Amino acid sequence: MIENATLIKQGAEARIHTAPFLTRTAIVKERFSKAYRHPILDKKLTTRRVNQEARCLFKCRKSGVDTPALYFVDTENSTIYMEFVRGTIVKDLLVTNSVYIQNKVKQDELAKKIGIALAKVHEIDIIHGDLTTSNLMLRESNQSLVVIDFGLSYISSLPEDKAVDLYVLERAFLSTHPNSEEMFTEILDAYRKNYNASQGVLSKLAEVRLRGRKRSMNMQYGTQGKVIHRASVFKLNIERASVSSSRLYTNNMKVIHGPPEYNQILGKSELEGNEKKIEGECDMSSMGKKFEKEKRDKRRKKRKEQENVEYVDRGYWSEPVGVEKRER
Amino acid sequence: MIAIGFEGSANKLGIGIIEHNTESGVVNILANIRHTHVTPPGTGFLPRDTAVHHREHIVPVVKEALKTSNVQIKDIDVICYTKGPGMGAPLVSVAVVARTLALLWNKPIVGVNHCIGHIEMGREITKADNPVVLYVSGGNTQVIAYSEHRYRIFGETLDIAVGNCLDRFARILNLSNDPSPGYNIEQHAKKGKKFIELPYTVKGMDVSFSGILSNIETIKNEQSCSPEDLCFSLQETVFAMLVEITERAMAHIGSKEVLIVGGVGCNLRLQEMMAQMVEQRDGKVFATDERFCIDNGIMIAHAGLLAYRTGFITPLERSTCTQRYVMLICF
Repeated sequence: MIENATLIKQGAEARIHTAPFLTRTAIVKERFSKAYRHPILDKKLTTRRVNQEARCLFKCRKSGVDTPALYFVDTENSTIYMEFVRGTIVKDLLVTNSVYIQNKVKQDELAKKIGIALAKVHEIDIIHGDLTTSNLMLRESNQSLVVIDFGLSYISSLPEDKAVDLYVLERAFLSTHPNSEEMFTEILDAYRKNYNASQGVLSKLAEVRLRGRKRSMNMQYGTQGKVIHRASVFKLNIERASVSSSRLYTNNMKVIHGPPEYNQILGKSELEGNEKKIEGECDMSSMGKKFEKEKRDKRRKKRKEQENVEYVDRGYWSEPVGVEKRER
Repeated sequence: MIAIGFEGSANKLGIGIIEHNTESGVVNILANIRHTHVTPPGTGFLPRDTAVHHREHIVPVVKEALKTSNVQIKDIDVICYTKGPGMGAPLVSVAVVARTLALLWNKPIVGVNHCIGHIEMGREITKADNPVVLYVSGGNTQVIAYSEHRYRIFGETLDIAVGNCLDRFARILNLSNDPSPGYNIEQHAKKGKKFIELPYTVKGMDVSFSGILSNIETIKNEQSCSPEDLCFSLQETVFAMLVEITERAMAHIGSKEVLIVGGVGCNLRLQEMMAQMVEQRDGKVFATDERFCIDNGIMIAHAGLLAYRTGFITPLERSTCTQRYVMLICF
């Protein structure tokens, strides 16, 4: 039991208290056991997460990312004591603070800070795992950006994991703060400039966006152009939507990306007027296939060069000849 | 107002007839007939065979629905059908019937988003007001909430759907597909005792199931563990993942209600785990039984009629199907 604790928030998996710790006020994060989970699974997950959180928090702090300072870890009770950060949560800033809602300069400034912080976190191979605007804060005293809640963090140097990390933020950003595409672009921009290996991560991010069942999501969110007639915007959309569109629409149907309210599938006859305004042919289905194929070929070529192994073409994927499953 | 709904996006063929009293707002379910394409153990359902099944059974099922409901054709106001998402061939074979009947009976037609159908039906049956929706079925695994005039996806699976994971698992163990693989896994799991550790992958509000399947394949061959234990461990693991992301979404949005919809949603163990989670958070959980959880025609009729009442009609030339639905164009 924590002495003199006041509960301030019950999150998804932990209770957050404030309590005096030696001479200071501390945030006490207590992971409680879940009744719905099997005891073995519960124990395993809780211990693993407490350890990982403490480790990542410490590692970040050591390399100069502003995070709450780690005071004490009580593994027995799955509790972490850390610094009480005075400041505002970014989500609240963007939702309630009129300065941040209206002032683009302020937004960009904030976005830049976020980008730099993320770059630092990824630099030391830490994956935050739950990047949302609720887990970012602005410190009251010096307005520096604090990354909090490392509850789902882990250590990995794979661009893939970092890209997914960014993707989670993108999704959280766009689903909680509509019309914040520009801000997210700004974040990525700052990230690119401040992280040497960002190129690999960002190209992976483009892949992640197109992957699997998230495709249709990209049509819903993402930086869908606000201007319907601009060819460049349209091209961007083709790139993003291509994989899904090749399956989505039959050949005589076309899609127009515009503001959500105009975003509809139209029959051919109704498209004719709009078609003139868009440069070039916009048969989504063939564009999609072409794009898919180009990407596939590129990927295959790259892999071949890397491993120098012969591949069998199986149509949609290729497999190395006679290579056993590699051990991790 | 009376609507008839045609559903056939996967292996269930469902026809439902629903009545909305526009004045009192009371919803009356007149018929809910379903015919499932069941394949032998160890196999799944293929689009082509499923389409053949739907084509074979749709006329008797429609007749049965009309007979059960005691509704005259002239009383029906609108015909609703599943526009997507789903398997192409089954979708089209059912849509053709809906379209033909619309022409034959001279009724307006409304294309319905399958997912919205599930959610609206769940809300109607349980009277949940503004819940976080966990939509779990053979093709979808999503955590959805309504915000800014749209249903928005907050978390989902990064690869296969949970129902797909369960189905394929049942295929590995050669469990029966009758009435559904998920039901048989649930029954086996009740006898399971030993908990076997399986990969547990939660990334933010997203989950991933594909690793579990390949892991189970190796475990099954290497260790000596009974199918019951495997079923038990699988359910405990995947449902814990689902409950966790739902809880995260609830904490993120600040909601106290959860609604479970979709075929996997009728699993009692999932409902129980969700109830335990919600109890800790002092909230409420809503779930329905297999009549409304598993794909059915009623939900299509219901969602379609709601859209129709607001003036939405799908013109005949646009009454197409899509395998992947862009959520924006629902209604």
